[in-house]
Amino acid sequence: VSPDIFLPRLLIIDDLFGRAHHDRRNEERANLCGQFMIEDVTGDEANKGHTQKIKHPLAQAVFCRGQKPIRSKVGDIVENDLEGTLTLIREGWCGHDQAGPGWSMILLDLCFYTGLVTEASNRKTLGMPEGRDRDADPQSYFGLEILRAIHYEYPELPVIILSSKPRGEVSREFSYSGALGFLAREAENSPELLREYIWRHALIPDETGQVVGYSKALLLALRAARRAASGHSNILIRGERGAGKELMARYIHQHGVERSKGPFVTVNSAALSASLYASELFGIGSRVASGVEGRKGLIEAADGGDIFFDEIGDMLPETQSGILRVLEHREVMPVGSKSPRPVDVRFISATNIDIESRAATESFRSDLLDRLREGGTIVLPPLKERKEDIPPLVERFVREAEGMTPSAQRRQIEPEALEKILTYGWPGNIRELRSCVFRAVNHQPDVEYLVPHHIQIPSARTENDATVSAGLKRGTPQPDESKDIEALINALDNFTFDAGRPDQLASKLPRIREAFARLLARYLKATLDVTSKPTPEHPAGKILIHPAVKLMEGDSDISASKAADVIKRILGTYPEAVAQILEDPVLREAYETALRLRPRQQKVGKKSPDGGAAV
Amino acid sequence: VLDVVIPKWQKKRSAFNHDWLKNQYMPALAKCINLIDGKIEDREFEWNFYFHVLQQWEHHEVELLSLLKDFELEMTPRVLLSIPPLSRADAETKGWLGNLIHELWLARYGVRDLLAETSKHHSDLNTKYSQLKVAFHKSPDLRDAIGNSVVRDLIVRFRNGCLALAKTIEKFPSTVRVT
Repeated sequence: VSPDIFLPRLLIIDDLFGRAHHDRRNEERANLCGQFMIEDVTGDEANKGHTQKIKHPLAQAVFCRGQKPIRSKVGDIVENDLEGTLTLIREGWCGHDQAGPGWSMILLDLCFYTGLVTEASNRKTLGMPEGRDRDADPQSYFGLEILRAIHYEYPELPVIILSSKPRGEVSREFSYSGALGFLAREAENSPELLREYIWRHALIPDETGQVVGYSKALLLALRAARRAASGHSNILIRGERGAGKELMARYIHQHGVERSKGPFVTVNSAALSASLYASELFGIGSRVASGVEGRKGLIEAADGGDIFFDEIGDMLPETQSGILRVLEHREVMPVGSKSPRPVDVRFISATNIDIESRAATESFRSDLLDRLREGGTIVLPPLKERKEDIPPLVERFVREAEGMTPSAQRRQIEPEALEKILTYGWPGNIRELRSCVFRAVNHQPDVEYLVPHHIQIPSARTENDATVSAGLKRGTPQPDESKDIEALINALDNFTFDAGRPDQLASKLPRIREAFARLLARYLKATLDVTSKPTPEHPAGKILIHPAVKLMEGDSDISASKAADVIKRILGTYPEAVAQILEDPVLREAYETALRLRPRQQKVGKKSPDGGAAV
Repeated sequence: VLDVVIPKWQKKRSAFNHDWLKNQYMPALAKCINLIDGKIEDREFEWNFYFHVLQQWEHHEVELLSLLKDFELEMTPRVLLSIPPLSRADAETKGWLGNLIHELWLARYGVRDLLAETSKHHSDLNTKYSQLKVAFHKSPDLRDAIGNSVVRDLIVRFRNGCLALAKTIEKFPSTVRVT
């Protein structure tokens, strides 16, 4: 995704700069563009003499007069056109999602001159009317009328007043009517001011291309993140699993004016055990007598920068207390040390749970929660609320996956494949989409087209498809989307064997055991997919067995070694099927990880899943 | 507070300060600085700048002088004596009362200081404008000034002078006021 494609697009509503001429360009408009370093893309001045070239424009601008007619000559009467102006605003705000960026921000003039274009007024400024008394009355500025209408119809659309009138005349009124700021036309450092206003108020995508998408929901979250990033207070990110919370935390870090120069340290809150959290977070003090060498903790390692606590809701109560002390005193006490060390760290936390409810039931400290969100809460929209971002995300992931697969063909994404992807709800959000696309590319490295059957998504969860879910035969009554696993468990629980039909009983045990082993393996794989995390070394997602087992067991306290045991037990359910099951690279990696954590113990007479020593 | 809008002087101020100086002249000067810095290219502007943009100052200076000359006469609260109900007062009362409220107004709003400040900015601007004319005497084509820090500095100083003038003109009261 090239950042150039997403040069912010401004709509400038102004009678002087928005008007057009029949035979020449609007010089005042050209000068304004040259002053603010913006590129005019209105398209109403083709073949009208020399064009201006802005070498590094800050933004593109579409100009609108806000009046009728747009081109006026002596004898014409110019009138304000609220409806026409709102129509243009609407077209660029509501209908842009599929066609590229819409209005990032509106720059709105205050005073619009109306009335007859006379010889004198035309001589003074080409095409401008002589003006009526009420035009220049601050109480009846047409700009404020437009502003109120925008605020009423499109309250999320950012509007900045761009005027040469005194700010004090209208500051109260424009604040009430929803404008976000005032840009004086005569400002000395106008490009810098405009750049700052765009950064702070405009709806713009991530210029680095790391956070992909230009849906309004995402752009609003990015704007909230930039605003929060400029301060030093702690920030809470909320969003469903897989929605990109860590990426958003990195975006905040990169947009912190001073913090971005410091380190960015990530911590998985769920992995901090009660016995080890203090040494991990606060470090270990050196002790000369015992020869213990000191070690910095993660918080101190983030000094001057940001520390990111993922899944803060899973943090143990002991850890919560320890963190609260750091936030209150701005210092850490390494384990075994008697002297605290000052730290300057901003905490960025993320959660996918209703942490307020946890705080209300006292399973999460409410005083800690208050501290963690004092700089604001950023709400990351789920993928289903930003479906217009799916095509660029798919494009990104396909290219990444091709890059990761040696000799993979560069492929086109067929519209039907995209359509299939768009019909799915993506409960696992971007992480699930990424895994799906990576699987499609990895399984089909030698094709030039991504087609629907390359996309493997649970068909029972597509919005338009009620076909059977995996493992159940056609013709059986289908459970609804939210209860399919319950239906499967009920079916297993309630299934009875007919003692009167020996043919149905004979030789079935190996098949039942194998089917059960495969079911468990698929279940494990799904949880591994969902809990995997993209890292620079593993862009398709790093397999994490501990969170996967926690998810399966519903037990957040389970230890890593116990999780390894669970993995081995699942994969060892039916030893005869293990070799085939472990052909799956995800399950193979999970198994090898489990083995590293819990090395094999020799037990005579039993086979391990890999056919070697016993589990 | 008694507010009476006097459209004539306000319109003249708006025409000079808002419509021309801030909306047209100063953006052109700012663009000129960006052009000298090499950030933009505009051949038409380069050709026209000296004769058709910069020299607008000479034409609009007349409007500024008119604003300064007419302000005291048109915006003094003495004008209230010419409209009802004060217009019904006798001539003698109008005489002493008019002089009194005019003097009080001058003192309260520092009118003479404001006029002096504006005149000073005007004079400074004329000096800077003359320097610019000398700088462009050799070549009126702005293209020849690209990268020229001396010309750039003169334009910046002239533009800053315009800004100071605009801000001072903005300070003048916008209504006839007796408090």
